[in-house]
Amino acid sequence: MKQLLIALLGLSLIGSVHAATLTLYSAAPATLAKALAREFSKKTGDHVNVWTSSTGKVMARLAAEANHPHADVVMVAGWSAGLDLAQQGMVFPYHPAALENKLVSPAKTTAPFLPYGLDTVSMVFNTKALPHGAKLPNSWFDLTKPIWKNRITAPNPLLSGTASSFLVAFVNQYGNKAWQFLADLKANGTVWPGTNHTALLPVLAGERSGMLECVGHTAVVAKEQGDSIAQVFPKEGTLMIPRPIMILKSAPDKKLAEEFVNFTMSPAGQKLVAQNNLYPALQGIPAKPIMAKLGTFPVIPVNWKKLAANQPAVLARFKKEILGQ
Amino acid sequence: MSRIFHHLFIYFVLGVLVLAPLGSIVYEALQPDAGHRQGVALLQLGVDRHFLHALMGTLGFAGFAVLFAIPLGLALALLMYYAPPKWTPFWEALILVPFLIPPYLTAEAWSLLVGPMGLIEQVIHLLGPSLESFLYSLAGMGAVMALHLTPLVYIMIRASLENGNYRLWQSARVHGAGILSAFRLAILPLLLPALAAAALLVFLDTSAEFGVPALLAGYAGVSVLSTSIESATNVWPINLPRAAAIGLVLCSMGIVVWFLYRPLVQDNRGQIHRQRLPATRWWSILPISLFAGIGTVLPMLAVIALSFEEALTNGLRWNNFTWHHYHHVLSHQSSAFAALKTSLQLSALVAVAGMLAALLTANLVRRGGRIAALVDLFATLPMVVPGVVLAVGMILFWNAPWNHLPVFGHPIILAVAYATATFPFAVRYARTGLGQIPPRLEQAGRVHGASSWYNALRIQIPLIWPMLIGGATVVFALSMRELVASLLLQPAGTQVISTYIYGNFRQGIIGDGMAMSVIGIFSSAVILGLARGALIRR
Repeated sequence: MKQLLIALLGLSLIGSVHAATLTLYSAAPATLAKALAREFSKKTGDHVNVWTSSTGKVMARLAAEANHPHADVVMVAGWSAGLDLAQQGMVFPYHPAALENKLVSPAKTTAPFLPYGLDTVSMVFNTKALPHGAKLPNSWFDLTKPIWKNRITAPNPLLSGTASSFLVAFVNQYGNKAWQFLADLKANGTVWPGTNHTALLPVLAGERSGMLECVGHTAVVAKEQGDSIAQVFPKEGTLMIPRPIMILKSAPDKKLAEEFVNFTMSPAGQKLVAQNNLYPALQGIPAKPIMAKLGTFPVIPVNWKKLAANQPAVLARFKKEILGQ
Repeated sequence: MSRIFHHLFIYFVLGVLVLAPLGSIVYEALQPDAGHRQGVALLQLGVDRHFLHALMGTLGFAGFAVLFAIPLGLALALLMYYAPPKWTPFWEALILVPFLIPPYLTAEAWSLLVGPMGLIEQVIHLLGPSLESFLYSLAGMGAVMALHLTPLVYIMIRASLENGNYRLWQSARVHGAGILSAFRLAILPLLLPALAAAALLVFLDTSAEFGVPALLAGYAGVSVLSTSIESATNVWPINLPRAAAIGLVLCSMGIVVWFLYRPLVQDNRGQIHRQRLPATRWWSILPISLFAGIGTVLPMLAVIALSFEEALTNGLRWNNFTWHHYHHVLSHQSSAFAALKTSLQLSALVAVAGMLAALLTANLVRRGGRIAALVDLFATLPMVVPGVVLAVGMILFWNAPWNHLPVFGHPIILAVAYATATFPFAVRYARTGLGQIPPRLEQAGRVHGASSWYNALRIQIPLIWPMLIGGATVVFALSMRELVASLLLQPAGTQVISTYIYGNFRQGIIGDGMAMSVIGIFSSAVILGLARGALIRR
């Protein structure tokens, strides 16, 4: 009986052990992380284990596993989250000048890691589910008007990396006016139910009319599927958010991790980035035609170092005052 | 010698499955809260406004579930007992089906049914918005859980009705009581323990539930304990002492409820009397069909309809029809297929290994004595430990700085979690099975020098294998649907069926998730059916 048990356990162990060499924790679009892993395996024969989630959960898992790190390479959605990890001393610096020189200009910002792509946040509306007589707004601040009462959702910045980057930049730009705006939104029935997808779902289903701070790639996927989705870049401007790819100091095989980063930054990898609805970070790789052309919408200029330093305090205040957690 | 080995093996199994995670929870809850750096996390909860808010949420959520499930279950049981429709087994099966659908799936289905552009509104142009505001509230969440748990209430009350003494009713009637007062005098008092037990069980199950609040509470603007534990563990910045402390509170609530519940169900006198078969009534199919419609047919239709829909906002139209989602889930390379395979493998492994360990444990418990009572207690304990608390305990134990076993971060950790969560059910089946073997057979074996392993292998298993298979299918089905521990523990590169469905739903990839749900429900049903068929054939 005991042998049988041991044999069973043994079998299951053998059955599920992979020739795993690289572990990737990713808050990139899940399809992108899987495509990169697949193509990298095809090219090099090395296996990539992927765990995909949102930025807040990736950061939590890295913190929880600090004693026994499992991840080698980490991709998150917000540049400030990456700077935060670097601040904690978890990042193995890898940003060769040869690659940095070939980046598009909004992605050129000093950090001990590279950007694998860029994305925006915008407002997204379901044109079939607008309140009676409503027009699409063109300012963030329009959403506190009574006509939008109980019609708006937003991603939770504690989970979404792009939403947290935007929140910190917005607070930095508008100060107390920003906090008043958030409090007004809340009073107007806006909910922050979870990740970008979770917040977009009621909009797709028509339960809500629109969403603010929606990450670009999610909106584009919805648009492409034939949904009645309109994307609005408000006149105050949005952010161009670079998305970091980092090698962890704890990664046992740095060479392999660097190879993976190099592959992501290569034209082949960047084409996958473009296919998955992000703006490629590398010059000369075009974004999808369905995406708004860079330069056709206003962008708030940012100092990422300063934002990253403010991020923990802003998120803590948001969690307390707006989410009430 | 072999006896000592037998004991040690059981202690080891219970230690790893039950004691280690629970001990870690208790230890961590007594550490300082990550936000305060001093004091004990458990005590800080007392002054934590948000914790109290979540506690009220959990009490309200579970309270509403009881409020809806008890009258529903009672009404159905009375109906099926006193005025059964024709083809009773068919209607009874229809009442029981909602219990087989995982609650998170019912919640997903209903959130797609309601709303100004939901399926109900698309078909009948009515009710969508008002149902939506009901669903996204504490009461709505409670109602979803009640749909799932009403079958359980039904079974308990039905059993109690069968046990009732029909002669009491007759004598009340003979002495001139009207139908209502005869019911109040002769039947209701005997039903009360069953009603109380059912209410406690619904409360216990609902307060431990994670999937339903995780999907609905965000829109309802309420929070509950199980989701607070998850976010303290899983969303940066994390606060494990706080998660453990809340977990301890939730477990203690469960233990209190369990101790209230236990004496109520042991009171089963099993009256023996001739049953007058009541006349069948055709009208009783109306309320039963209504329940089946709300609990099973509508959600299942929603799941099936959406698994064929190309784009969500284009609604139910022929040009919006696609086979693509099924094709994707069943194609060999897809992550969906891998998730399905992983789930089947892990659940099968847990069903076999868990059932064998449960058989050995049941053997030990059967011998009686103080140690046996203690072993029984620990083997039953996982009943009151919510999945989310178990998962936090397992993270604390298997990911501790001193623990270098490569279990955390390996798919096998999911099997360990499933084995813990299902162990009480496995032990219960094994004990019922062993109760059917006359002690003489084993005594004969022992006299002739068989060890307890040999006894189990050559005497018990051949005799009680139908019971073991019954237990194994229950363990298998519970493992297939487990959600929250899988979410918290799944390592990189591994997904199971429940996390795939839940993850896709949250990412807005509705179609693939729904196709997977249809396949998952079908494959579980087929496996359960085959197992049941094998049992009946014997």
